[in-house]
Amino acid sequence: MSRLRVLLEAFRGRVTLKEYPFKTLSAPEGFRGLPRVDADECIGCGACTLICPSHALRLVEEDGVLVLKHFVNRCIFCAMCADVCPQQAIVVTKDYELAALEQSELEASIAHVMAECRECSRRFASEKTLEKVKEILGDQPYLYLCPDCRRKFFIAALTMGRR
Amino acid sequence: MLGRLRKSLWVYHLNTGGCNGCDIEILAALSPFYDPERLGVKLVESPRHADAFVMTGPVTHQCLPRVIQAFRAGRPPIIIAVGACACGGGIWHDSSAVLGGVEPLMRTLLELGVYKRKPVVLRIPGCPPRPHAILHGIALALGAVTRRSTVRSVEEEAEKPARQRI
Repeated sequence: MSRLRVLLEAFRGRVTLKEYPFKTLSAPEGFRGLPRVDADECIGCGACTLICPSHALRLVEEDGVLVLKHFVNRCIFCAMCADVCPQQAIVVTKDYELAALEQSELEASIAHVMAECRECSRRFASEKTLEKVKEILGDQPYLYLCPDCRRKFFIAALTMGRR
Repeated sequence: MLGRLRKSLWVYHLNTGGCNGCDIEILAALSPFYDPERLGVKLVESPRHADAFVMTGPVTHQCLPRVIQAFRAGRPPIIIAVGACACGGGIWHDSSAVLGGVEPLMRTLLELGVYKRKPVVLRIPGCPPRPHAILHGIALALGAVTRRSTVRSVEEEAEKPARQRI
């Protein structure tokens, strides 16, 4: 039946050529295009950078600022980052027309203010991440300490009075 | 950008160790359904006839000598990197068996003296990119269409100076 329809269309002389580059065509349902990170929602926890198979999303520290970098060149559009994001800050769009002649056109970044350790004043995580942890767990004694100081203080608290 | 090219763009398809996903999408883009020959894009059989190399794959060490041979023969002024692997290494970017995309290949070719200066590189990301994305990329490079979407949002571009101050 479908073959007959194809034959009929061929006899009718209908043009099947898509006028694509000059007219926009939307992607089909369920298509995974460019994942966009909402800068206001993102807390800089780095969950997306851990799951990203091609390390297209990276969290790097630059001059005391935590920067989430999206290197779209390498992105394979698997949308796993959108699945693991605790804030649902990553939205998978249907954008696919991403061709670029300049490398800089394919890079996006989000900067986060970093929190300082209260003991050694080392910068260790974004302030928004600590706010989120505080929101979930309430006030924690070791929350504003860097991992090294936290370990030191915890061991000191454990061994107190046992010497 | 490629307006300086005074003839139709003839492309040579060069698989640099890809998985065939992007190659199939390139063939889909070359089908009569989209007919890229109305843009002047034609697939040629020899690297010597080509104005552009369409490369797919992360440039594996196995295929590197052949790739260099093809570049020596053709020396195209334009390179079209199709797919995540060719653009930036893809999921193989930290593998020991690959060179890692078009940028390290360019450095190698400049070191070997195949090129005197950097050729034009068009990057089409995607794993694999849709045939539409490939066509749009070529039409964009030829100046036939304007850019419709960007990686950075408009707000992000406006806010960027403010963020850099933090």
